[in-house]
Amino acid sequence: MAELTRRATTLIKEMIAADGKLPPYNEEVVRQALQQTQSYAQIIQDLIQAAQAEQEKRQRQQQQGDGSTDEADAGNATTAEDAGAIIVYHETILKLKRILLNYMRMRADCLIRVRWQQRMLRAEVAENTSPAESEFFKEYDKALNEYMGTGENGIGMDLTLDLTPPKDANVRVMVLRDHGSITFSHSASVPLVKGSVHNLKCSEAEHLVRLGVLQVLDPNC
Amino acid sequence: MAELHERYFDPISLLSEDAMVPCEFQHAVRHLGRVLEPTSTSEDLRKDTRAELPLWLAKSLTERGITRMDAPAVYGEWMQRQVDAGANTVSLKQTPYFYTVGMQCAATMGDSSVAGFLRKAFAERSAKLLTGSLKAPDGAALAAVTSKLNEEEKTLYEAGRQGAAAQEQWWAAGGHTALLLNSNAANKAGVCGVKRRRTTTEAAGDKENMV
Repeated sequence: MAELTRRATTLIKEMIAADGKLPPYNEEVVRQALQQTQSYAQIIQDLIQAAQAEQEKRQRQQQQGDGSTDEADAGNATTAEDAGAIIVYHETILKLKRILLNYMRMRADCLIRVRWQQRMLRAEVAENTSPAESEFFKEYDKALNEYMGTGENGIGMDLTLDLTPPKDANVRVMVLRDHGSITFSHSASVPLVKGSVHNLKCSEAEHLVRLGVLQVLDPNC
Repeated sequence: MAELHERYFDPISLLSEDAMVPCEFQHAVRHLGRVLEPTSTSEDLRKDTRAELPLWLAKSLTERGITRMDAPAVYGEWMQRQVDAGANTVSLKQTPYFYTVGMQCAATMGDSSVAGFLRKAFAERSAKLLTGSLKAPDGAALAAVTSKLNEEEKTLYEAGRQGAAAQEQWWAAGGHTALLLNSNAANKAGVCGVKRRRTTTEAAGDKENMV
């Protein structure tokens, strides 16, 4: 009976194998799992109706006067026989539900991590999301921006800047590729020429490090 | 026995419940013959049918008295004798969630002998595993140690290795003088793996600065 959920379980294995990255949304398997639950729900209903019909039939026979204890026992046995199948299908539905919820949650966690670490949904990640997930990312992005912004409910601080607490306010960085001139808070415009070394504020350097323009030489932040 | 807390949103716990458990049906069950065995000629399942069921299904059916659950072969007498002879020589590679599954089976069956066997196996194996991990071998030596571990033990082993590495770095950075001067670095080394590699260069940098 392990066959019942084998396909759906591949969703979870896929996510674990991706190791923190976002694999393409597996719509086919999700749809199949949903169809499976629907057909099982139908089977359960049919089974219950059949069992009820049978029970009523037996009750009527008993009322006609020839009901004995033997038949009442037989009635109980039949319900146990029917219950087995119903429980199997019901548990399978619950299991499928848990697999699907776990799948959604693992993917959502992945998107949240992307928002904190890379700030935006890059094209190669975006093409792996389902429409609902893109919508989720947009809403999460909005909520986080509102919280960090200067609006009515905002705290006016960018929380994604220091994902690990800095030891020092400054950091030594080397420029990996030319990036034109940038004006930093402590100086006039600085030309970022490939190979040159600068001493920058962590908050100003971090963004450029993530873009791959700078490399941290003396890791403080 | 303490109630086993099921972690609903834990993919590992979810996968571990797919382990197959031998069961015997205590009642005849109608309409299930074909589900269990697609080639079966009968629609119904007879009483006393033996079948391998996944743990998540077996647990529920056994709690309701529809099936009786037996311990899977890996917790059987043969395995118990192997463990008695020396728990460290047994390879658990084929059973990635040996302890989790075993605990759940023991709880459902109400069988304390399986639980005792698990505890014995774990106590003996984990002692060897943790002393081994502190030596932090590499390459072939590492492969030899991990070759007999299952997923659960590998996680434990990795944690032990990381702890040992963090401690070594702490001493390299000057023991608790370094801790007093710079509590941040020690904290970071303990918290995440990526940072730890950096602290090696940091420690070297600190020494240069002192000179």
